Amino acid sequence: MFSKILIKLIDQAIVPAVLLLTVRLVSIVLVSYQMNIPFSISKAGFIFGSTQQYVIVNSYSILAMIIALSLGIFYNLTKAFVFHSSHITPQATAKIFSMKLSFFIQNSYDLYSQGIIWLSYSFLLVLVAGIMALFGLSFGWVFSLGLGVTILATVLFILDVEKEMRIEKLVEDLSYPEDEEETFVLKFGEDYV
Amino acid sequence: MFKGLVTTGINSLMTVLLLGLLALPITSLGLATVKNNLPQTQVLSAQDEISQDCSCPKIIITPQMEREIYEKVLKEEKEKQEAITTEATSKIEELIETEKIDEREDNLNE
Repeated sequence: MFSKILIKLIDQAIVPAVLLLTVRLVSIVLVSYQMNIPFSISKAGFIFGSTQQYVIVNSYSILAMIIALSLGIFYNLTKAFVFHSSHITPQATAKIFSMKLSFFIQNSYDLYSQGIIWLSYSFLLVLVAGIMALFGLSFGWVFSLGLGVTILATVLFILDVEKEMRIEKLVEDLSYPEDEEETFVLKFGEDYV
Repeated sequence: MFKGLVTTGINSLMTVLLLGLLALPITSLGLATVKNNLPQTQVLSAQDEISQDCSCPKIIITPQMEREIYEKVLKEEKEKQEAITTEATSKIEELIETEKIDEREDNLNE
């Protein structure tokens, strides 16, 4: 009845959403205190005295969000490249099990659903950062950095998917063809002795 | 058919939930804003409006008023010129005194 993939995606989207929201709020407060920029809190949110102050706080806050996102994405990519259940080495598996860190080993379904969610957040954030940079509400280099991280993460993610597809194909080629099974009857008789 | 409709409805609701979750952190970017100050042009226009709506009677300048103003201006100018001349004379006197002192000193040295 329920779509399994949708449930999985919603499940995977909660953690990054909460993380990004927290990073945004905490970074605004920390950057303001660090740079001695006064602000007030009202129904509209954080209110700054001038546009210049807003641009500084907004840019560094977006930067903090990009850093948090890239940490999450590269954690997922590490799991996909090193601890992927389809191509993890037996030695690494033994080591991980001995260290009781078996939760690192995940299958393609878990890894790719996580990867898609984190990459979606990354693309959305870069898009909004780009619009803000266009209207002079944030620094341009913040957008460039975000774009670079997103492109790199996407390329690495695609490389892992390609690797997985090659492995799938290899497994299919190596499988025993049941349909082409033929029976050979060896005859041993007096004529052959 | 009814079962299929329910499934579609639930799945579409879940899709909306997923999209909402994706949009939630991005909407937090609008949490910070700049204080909205009234631009100066609006203040000026408000002043203009007040002067237009004023019910005070218009000032009509009579010849007597004109004369008074003219005399006042003349008096001010006279005072200014006097102040300038007194300042100049005091400076000249100071210069003459200093010259006299110098001459005396020269005579004493000789």
